[in-house]
Amino acid sequence: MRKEILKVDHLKKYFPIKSGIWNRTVTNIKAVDNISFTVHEGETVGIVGESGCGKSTVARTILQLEQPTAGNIYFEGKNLCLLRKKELRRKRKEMQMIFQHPHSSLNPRQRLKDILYEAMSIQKVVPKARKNEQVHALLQKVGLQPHQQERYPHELSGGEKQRVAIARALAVQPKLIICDEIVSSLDISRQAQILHLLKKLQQDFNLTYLFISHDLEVVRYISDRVIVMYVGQIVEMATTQSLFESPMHPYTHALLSAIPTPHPKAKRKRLLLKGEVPSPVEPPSGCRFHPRCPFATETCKKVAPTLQGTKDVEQNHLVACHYGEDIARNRSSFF
Amino acid sequence: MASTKQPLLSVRHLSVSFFTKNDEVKAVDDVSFSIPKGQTLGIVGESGAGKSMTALSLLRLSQPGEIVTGEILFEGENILKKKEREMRKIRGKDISMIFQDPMNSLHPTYTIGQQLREVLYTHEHLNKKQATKRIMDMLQLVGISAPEKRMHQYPHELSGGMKQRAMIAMALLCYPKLLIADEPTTALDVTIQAQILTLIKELQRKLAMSVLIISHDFGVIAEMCDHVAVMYGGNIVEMADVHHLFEKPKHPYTIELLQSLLRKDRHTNEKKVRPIKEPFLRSEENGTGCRFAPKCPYKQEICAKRLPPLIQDEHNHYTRCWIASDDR
Repeated sequence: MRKEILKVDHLKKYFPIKSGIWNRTVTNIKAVDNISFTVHEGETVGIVGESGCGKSTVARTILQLEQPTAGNIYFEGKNLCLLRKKELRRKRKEMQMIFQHPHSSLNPRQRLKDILYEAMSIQKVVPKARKNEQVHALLQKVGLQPHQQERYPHELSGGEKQRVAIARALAVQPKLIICDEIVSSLDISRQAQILHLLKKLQQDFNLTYLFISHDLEVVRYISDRVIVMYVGQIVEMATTQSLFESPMHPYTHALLSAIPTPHPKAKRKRLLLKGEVPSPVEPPSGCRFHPRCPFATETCKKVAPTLQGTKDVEQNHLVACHYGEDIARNRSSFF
Repeated sequence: MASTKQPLLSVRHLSVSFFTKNDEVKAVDDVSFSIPKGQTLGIVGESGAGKSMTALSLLRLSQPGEIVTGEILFEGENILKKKEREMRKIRGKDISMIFQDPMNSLHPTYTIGQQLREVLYTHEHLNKKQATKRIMDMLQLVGISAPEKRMHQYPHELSGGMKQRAMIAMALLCYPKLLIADEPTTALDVTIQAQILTLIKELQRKLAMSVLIISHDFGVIAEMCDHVAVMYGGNIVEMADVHHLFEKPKHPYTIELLQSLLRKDRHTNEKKVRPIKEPFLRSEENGTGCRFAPKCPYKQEICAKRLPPLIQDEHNHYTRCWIASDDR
């Protein structure tokens, strides 16, 4: 068993909605509602879900960019929520984040070398004398030319900018990198390049990734394990192979069957979801998926299912559904 | 793509260029295709291949790009010869478009109802009651629940999927003969994407529309289209029936593109991804040769010198390549 690097323990993050002249909190947006998972060293864990399901909030809360409402986050055994500002800054050197829009996450008035050097100097990872050398090495690592160090972000294409963002994350020699939708703004051949690069870097530096995306195929390609989220909660968690080959939660089924197959003759038997994702302000009672679920019963409306393992399938395939097993067993007749 | 009847739309030798002070950039270069009534043509290609410019030209909205040569025949009439006033009658009525970015294509300070009503007032002689009914029916048709409530809401009050549906409703309001959908689902989640694609297909059957879909997602193309055109650097490099294109691609670029798909080998664990190296060269950087030549694995001498013609084979499969053959 590999070492545990990150542990998220019963994490909750509510955003208050304030209104009225006293600006009182009327209600809460339950962006993340009681989720737990662990990430081991050197592995890639993917988080998928539709927009608004709380994926990005999880990422931001792990890095303490948002204070969690409840729950704890342990990084290498240390509880990040209890650290003081100074200690936290030191810890941040080991966990980096790459954001969705490379254009707005790079300072438009800095040259590439300054962007990279700023990260290094804040964390004091290299002596000043060796800074040029290090900038060159980083650019090369991510597949850019050293002479591009004089460029400004606007002179680069989307894919190149994303490479710079990756280089900046690598600049402080982190252990964990959180990638939030980093390929969704790129077109398909550029996506393949970036994913390729991430895999290579992972081998070279023994990195751990938490990879957030709404694109299931991207997650399938890069992840060892996958977490499926729905309205602030985890509905299924399993190894990539197990999840894609024998999904148990009806929501996962729906997600998988919604992917268009790139072949005109492919058989399409689709579990088309009706309606929209419910609002996290007032999530449905019981199982949050029940209003859209084709198999929902009275129990589902009342009792919220817990995330648990099942008998038939391998041990660490967890699902939050009352009928996960039944559905998995009779898969062929449903889908 | 021969059809016994006259096709609804046929584009012949269309070229669109951007002019700078002393330079010309060819965004679309000698593109020809046609769409028969009730059928769907897909255009695929990477960003910058000229897909969107081609689509915009069909509505004469390509400015600042200038249509240099070519003709666009819609129901036998050349659109490019029409006056601006006549053009305005066609846009939104006979040919309508779903734009790439639904989030920014709706007017932020008008309600959904007002925006839809404007289309009807421009094109159809309906009184207020009739117009409201048409709008409600259309919103219902595209799957927006509680249309009477949504009509009075502003775009920012709707979710992305809803806005996209409202856009589709607007495009379909006058029952167009041709619907152009420029990356209609790129910004959406897979579940919403599936809903929207199913919806477009259903409406196409009901209204006997022709559809032009632009996408870089081969999944969407495979699912929606009867014919596919692959664009590269402003040219159509390959065009065929959808089954033919996926089973027997002939142009090296199409082959490479299909291989770069992450989704290719669904059931092997180690997926082969072959990234395509750099973005393509523009014609002026590449002289007169084939646009793909600098990156083509099968490159020969002639490729760098002359642009190959679009050649048709016995299955109506067009390829723009000097060396494409069936046995590769």
